[in-house]
Amino acid sequence: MSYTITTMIYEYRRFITGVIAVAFSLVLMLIQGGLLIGLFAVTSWPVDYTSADIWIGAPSVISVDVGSPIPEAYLTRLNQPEIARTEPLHLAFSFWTKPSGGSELCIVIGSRLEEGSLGLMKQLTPELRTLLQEPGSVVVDKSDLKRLGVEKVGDTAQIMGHRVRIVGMTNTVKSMAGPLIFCSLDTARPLLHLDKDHTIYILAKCHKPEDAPKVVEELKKYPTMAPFTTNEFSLRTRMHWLTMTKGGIAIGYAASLGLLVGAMITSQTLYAATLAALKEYAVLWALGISRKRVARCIMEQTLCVGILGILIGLPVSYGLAQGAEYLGAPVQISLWVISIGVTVIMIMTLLAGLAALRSLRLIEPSVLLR
Amino acid sequence: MSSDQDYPVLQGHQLFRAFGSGAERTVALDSTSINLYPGQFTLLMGPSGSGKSTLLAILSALLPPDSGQVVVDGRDIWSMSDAERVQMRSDHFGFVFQGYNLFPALNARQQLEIVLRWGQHVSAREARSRSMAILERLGLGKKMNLRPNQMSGGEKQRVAIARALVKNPRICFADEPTSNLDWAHGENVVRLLKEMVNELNLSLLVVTHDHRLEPFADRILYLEDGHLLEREMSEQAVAAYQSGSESWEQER
Repeated sequence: MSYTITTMIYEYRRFITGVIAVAFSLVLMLIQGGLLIGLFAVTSWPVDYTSADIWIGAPSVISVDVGSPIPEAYLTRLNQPEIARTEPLHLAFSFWTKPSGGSELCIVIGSRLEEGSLGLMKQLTPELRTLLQEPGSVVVDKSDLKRLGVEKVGDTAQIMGHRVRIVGMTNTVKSMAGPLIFCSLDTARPLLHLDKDHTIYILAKCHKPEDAPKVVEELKKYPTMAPFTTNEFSLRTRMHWLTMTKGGIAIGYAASLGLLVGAMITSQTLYAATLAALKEYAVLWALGISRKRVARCIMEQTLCVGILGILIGLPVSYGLAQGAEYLGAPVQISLWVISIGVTVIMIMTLLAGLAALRSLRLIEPSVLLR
Repeated sequence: MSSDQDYPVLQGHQLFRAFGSGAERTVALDSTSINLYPGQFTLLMGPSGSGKSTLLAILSALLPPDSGQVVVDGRDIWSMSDAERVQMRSDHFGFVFQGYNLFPALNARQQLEIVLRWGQHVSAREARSRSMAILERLGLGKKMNLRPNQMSGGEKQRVAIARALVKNPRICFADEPTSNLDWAHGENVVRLLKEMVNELNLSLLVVTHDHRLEPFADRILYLEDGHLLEREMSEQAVAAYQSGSESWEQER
């Protein structure tokens, strides 16, 4: 075993604070990052919960909820051997007028209602779908009732001047931008002021889902429409919300603060550990071991502190994420959040180690000879 | 006809060093010159604050003089680059410190190995065998796997000597090597140092207050107010040395 590791094990009390600081910074970063992703996953929910492989929208559509109409005739452009099925989806912002007056931004989602339709949200049960076949009928989520100014099934309100009646409720659908209003394609058309022969999106399903990127690439030759794979469109939507709401900046700030505190504690710990060993380093130096070799020893210790901190931080983050999930806050610590977190933490730790090297200039023979 | 023994392994010329400035300024060394010879045990004595440790630090390339030269192998070590000086210490100098200054986490063998591996880039295997050999020689064969807190003061100082000598230095500097030890252990340490001087043809410079070391020295230097005086060993000391230190101890 190397002398560095032997020393660290023996003097573990000197290093434990640093290890905890690294773990703390990592946990803070992963939880903040996971929270950010979890939170904004809500915005792409309408994309994630359909069964389509490909989404076609108007050119330069930046987010699923701000699409604009495209001709339904574009459906013919999708007559390709890889594509199994296509269908329109009418999804866009609209204005809900409460029975008591006052209006609320809402998102109307008009889809085909048959079992297995691509645009059909999985939360719509067969009973709800049957009820939605009635023109002017809509389904809303229970959690949005207050916002929409209604109380129960059977209540009515208006969307863009058209009367709608609540025929049922979902229980699990949350939205950040505005309440989701589910209905049939025909009901949706007037609510979105959609011309005949137009749709907001065209959805497609491939025989083999892995063909989707290739088909999308091919469809990019049409400048009048914008094709995406479902994953791309989901990410695009989340990124739009992230940048538009500056939520990323807020949480990024919090994470940076955690990082800064962690960096300072780690740096101070390593500095203190180095100072504590200064006499030993002075002996090494007196015996003809260069400052460079001693610096390497300190950087090896730093690396160990970083790795140990990460090994502790990862399971703790996972546990906390599970806890948050249990409490209803969606924390998604994806693999790339972990990769970014671990990389940043490792860089932070190594910088802290470099800062601790400043103590080496304090090596003086006076500590050895009195 | 001159032999190698007559040619100094280290020469200090006209060394001057002062500390502080203005009214606070004190001169530690004033035009001090000294030669160290191979196979010679040199004792450097003097009252506290006489500049003994300063001279030791300057000769051993730890503290720069304000002026003067320290010549080893025809080169002034204080005209070298830092890296060259570190290399010089690594190749030629050993140190034994007053407070042992062993590494608390490492066992006796590792204390020595680290010096060879980090300082001279010796292979793990060679470092191990050389460390074990010298520890055996210094009577620490059974203590190789003990850490400093598991050893007595005398054993610790012997490990410190082994660490200083494991690189086969030409010059070994020792700062008050017996001051933390009772005389039984202190004497043992000095005898070992004396034996190593003869075995390794080492030049040993020991800074001490302890007159009990005098009988072991080949040469005794006194430093007072920055000036160096050489004197012959006292008759009392010679007699004590010849009749063994026990009788000398009784005399005291």
